[in-house]
Amino acid sequence: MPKQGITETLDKLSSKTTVKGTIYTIAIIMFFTFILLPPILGIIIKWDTIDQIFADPNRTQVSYMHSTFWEVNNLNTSKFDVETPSYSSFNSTSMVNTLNSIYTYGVRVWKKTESGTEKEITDGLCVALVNKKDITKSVETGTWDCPVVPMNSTDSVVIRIYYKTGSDGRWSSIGTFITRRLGATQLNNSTWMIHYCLEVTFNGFEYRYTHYVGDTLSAGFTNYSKIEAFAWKSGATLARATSAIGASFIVALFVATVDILAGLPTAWLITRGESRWLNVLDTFSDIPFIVPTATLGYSLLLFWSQPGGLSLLFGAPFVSPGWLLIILLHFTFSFPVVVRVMVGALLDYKLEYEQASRTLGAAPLTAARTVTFPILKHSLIASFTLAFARSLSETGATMMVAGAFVNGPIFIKNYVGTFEEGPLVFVSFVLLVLSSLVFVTIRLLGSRLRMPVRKVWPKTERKLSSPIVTSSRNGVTLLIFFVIVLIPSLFVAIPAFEAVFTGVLSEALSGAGVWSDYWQSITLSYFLGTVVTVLNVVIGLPMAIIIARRKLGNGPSAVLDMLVNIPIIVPSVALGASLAIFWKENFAFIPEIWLLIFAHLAITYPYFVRSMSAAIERVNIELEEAGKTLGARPLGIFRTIIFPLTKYSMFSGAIMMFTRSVSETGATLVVSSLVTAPVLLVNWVKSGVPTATLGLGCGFLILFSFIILLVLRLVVRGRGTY
Amino acid sequence: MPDVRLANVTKRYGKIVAADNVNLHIYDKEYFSLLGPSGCGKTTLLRLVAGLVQPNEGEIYIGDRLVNNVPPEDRDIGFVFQTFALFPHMNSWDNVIYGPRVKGFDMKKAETIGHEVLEMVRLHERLDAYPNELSGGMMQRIAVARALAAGAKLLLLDEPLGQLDAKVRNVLRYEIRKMVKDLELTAVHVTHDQAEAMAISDRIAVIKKGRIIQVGTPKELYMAPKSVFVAHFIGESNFLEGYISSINKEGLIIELRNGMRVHTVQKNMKKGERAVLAVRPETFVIEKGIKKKKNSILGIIERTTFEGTNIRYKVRLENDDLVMVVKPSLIEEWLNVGEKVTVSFPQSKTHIFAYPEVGLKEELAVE
Repeated sequence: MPKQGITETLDKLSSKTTVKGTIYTIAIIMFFTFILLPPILGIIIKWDTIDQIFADPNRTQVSYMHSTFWEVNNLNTSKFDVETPSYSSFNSTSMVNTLNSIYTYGVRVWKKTESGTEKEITDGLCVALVNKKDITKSVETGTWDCPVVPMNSTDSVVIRIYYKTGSDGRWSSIGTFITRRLGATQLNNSTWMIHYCLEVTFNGFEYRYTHYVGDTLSAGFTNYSKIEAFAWKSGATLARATSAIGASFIVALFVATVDILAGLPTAWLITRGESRWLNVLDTFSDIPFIVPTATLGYSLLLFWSQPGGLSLLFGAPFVSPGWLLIILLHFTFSFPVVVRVMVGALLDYKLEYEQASRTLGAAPLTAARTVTFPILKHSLIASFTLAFARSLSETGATMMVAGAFVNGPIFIKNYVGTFEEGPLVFVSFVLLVLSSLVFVTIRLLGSRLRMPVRKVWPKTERKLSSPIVTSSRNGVTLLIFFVIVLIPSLFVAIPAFEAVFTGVLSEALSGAGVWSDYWQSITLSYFLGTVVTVLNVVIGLPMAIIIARRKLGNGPSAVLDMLVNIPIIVPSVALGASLAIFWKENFAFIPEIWLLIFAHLAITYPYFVRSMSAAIERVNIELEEAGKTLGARPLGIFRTIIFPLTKYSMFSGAIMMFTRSVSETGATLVVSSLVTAPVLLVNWVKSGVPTATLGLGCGFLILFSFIILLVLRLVVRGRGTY
Repeated sequence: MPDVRLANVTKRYGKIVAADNVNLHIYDKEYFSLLGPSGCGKTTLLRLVAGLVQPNEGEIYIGDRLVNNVPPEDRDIGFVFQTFALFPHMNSWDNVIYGPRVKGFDMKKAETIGHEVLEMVRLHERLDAYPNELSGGMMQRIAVARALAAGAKLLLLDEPLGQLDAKVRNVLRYEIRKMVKDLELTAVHVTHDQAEAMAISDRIAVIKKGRIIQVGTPKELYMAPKSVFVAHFIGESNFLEGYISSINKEGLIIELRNGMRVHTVQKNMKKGERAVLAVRPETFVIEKGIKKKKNSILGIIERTTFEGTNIRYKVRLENDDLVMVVKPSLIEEWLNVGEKVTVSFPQSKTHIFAYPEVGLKEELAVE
């Protein structure tokens, strides 16, 4: 008996039905366990919180001063929260020598924004003053009329406790407490009752005053240091939630439509034009595709609204952050998707249909409208859907350019870590359901959609096909491409280059200051991308085969095909939010990095399975059958026939997963507090890091993306691929 | 009056010359075929006429109009594609009246035309069918109907029968010709099938490597090929190499291999010149046994092939040349392998050509 190699053994094993069955079963179980079900179950778990969004927006509650620490809005300090402290300890002490004076206690109140800026509400004065002058434990209660204070949903409230002695009269701080993000539009006008739980002891040498935060008092009307009637108006009303969701859908619809209108002429020019420069255009149109969207967001922010961009020409910010800038941003990053899909479709298109139309007397425009576009309908729908989904989903870059504008993903992101989970669950649920519905509708109705091909306006369309109109169309197409897509995308290169010639580069390379965080986040991003890519190849490949070869029969395979696509169409932030709930509620012991991996797995999975199953479907089944008749076993057939013929798709699927993972911001933000590269860039923009630093940060990320892309292109280059 | 004229037309694709200084006149109401091996440039010529490709040099006239800068939609042509290119998203009816529709005809008129042409191709009952529901023959007829409905007097057909089964093809080619003649159209038909071209054409242009080799009626091309290539491509020929040994009043005498001499027709060639003798397999006279006959060579049957209508013999001549001889299978007595035979060369039906500069094999290559 000749000795068998590992491959032979595996080949033999693979022809056993049980082995094949097991592999397929595992792939399907993995899909449901890690990709599809967690987001759905997450919403179900928190379903009961949804009514928060329908409740009265005015909230009043008792908040306790805890001794435990937490970090909210860049302030790491003691907790100020609704839950009852479970143990007692003191928070702060002050030592005095005598007990002759009266000690006065008071609080000052600030609102703190997401970026860490504090704004005082109490005008520098201590309020809710109380006095104490005996060696006992007691609760002293003061009151303060809180005015109406406008808030952003990500703002939190900071409370600092002060004391002073009667003799010197200077206030000293003895404790700082911070609330989580309130998710409020305002603090309501109410009278706060502030209970100070205090004790003065004497140890023989000195008197020690202790402010208690959670001690039980045997007598008295309260148990803890706390504030009663802490009142605000919740921002998470139904109206605000629906307007955010509406904004997302309107922007996505508008952007996808404009994408088609602008992308189609571009794709047409690339495929039909005769100039050699069009190759360059073709390559350039990929740039916004591979660059992480967060860097794109910053680049656009610089170009359209910050000093040094278009504002140089116009004196003032040309486009301020807000909905218009969001639309420009979404157009920029979804445009290449449409161009890519349509260029592919036009290259595959049998030109004879159009030529037939022309010989029958149709002007070029008529031929395109009545013949070419209807035949390419599926590609048009596919590119529209992809652009729509991308716009609906993007979070990181959108946050950079949104200003005060709130769409679905930003809304969800704002309610992460607030008092209320209801709004987050509600908006995630609606986005998941609506986007899936849109997708299913397009799937089902798309093939029935008929374009108006019977109506023809020969004279008008002939005029519109004239050389002048055609060349002005090409001109406008090029202009849009350069001015709205390419230049704004690459504008970040200017500060990046500036950084190279100043000290910023050496600072960056030495990892000093903020750069140590930067390199850590980049490492995390690429680590995450690699892990996710490898895992998805392993669990996605059998699924691609199941779908492409209809291993479960036609019906179930088609259903799986549709289900696999859901993570593409639903906004990643909604997916991440509900997925995080599922894992955190049920498996709290799982480290955050795994949550991050799970979220990225779910989001990138479809990109690989789709491109792979399409590629396998293109491999004629007769080739497989030929392999079988020649004695190859299933694994052998995969190794020797399917893989060599589909490896290009496999690599390109892997590239897509990797870049998507590196770009992903929305889900990352809501799932964990780990800082990946795009999250860091968003934080930098929010906290006003200097342009040169940010530019260089973006520049490195773009550079690395290019290098990775280039290396992979070189790897997959070769013959016999398609 | 849609006659078509090409004057010094050249079309290059990079280094490949698809049309090399072509001059051609296709007469009004003529059924004209462009015949040649695949890749010879015949489709390019048709597309040049249609305006689907632009010439690098030269002029193209349809009627009296110079059409170089006229887009296809204004050339008033009908074009039938090899793949039919029926619009997959329209049913037969919408396909057929697409032309009248995009030309902005009055809808009533368009419908009348539609019904007429569908009547003509006898597909009236399948108006609602989409292309993927039609058979190859039906698709072909719809494609022709669609081209006719646009009202053009010039019909361009690019291998219109290439995708069909042999039987359907043989029927449809006559139908197309009949329609063209009935409607008094000018038709330009591209094909690589010489039998098809011979059967339907008034005249044929034989094309090779972008150049027109010979233009003539099917009979002229068959009876009087002007080159080795045409003798080879139209019908079938045996080619025997030799040189002109003498010239007399009746014709030339060519000396073949091993000194065998054959009398051939008259031709303007010099004594001693290298030559190729072409003889069609069906023109040989073949007789059992050794006969002393004028202009004949002895040989042995090496192989016989029964082809149905004909029987084909592969004969090794005395001088070691191999020739094919074809005889009607029902009339003649069959000969057997190994039999000695006398093969006579019919002097008037032989063709003699100067030996091609590129070599015989190269000259005959069709790829």
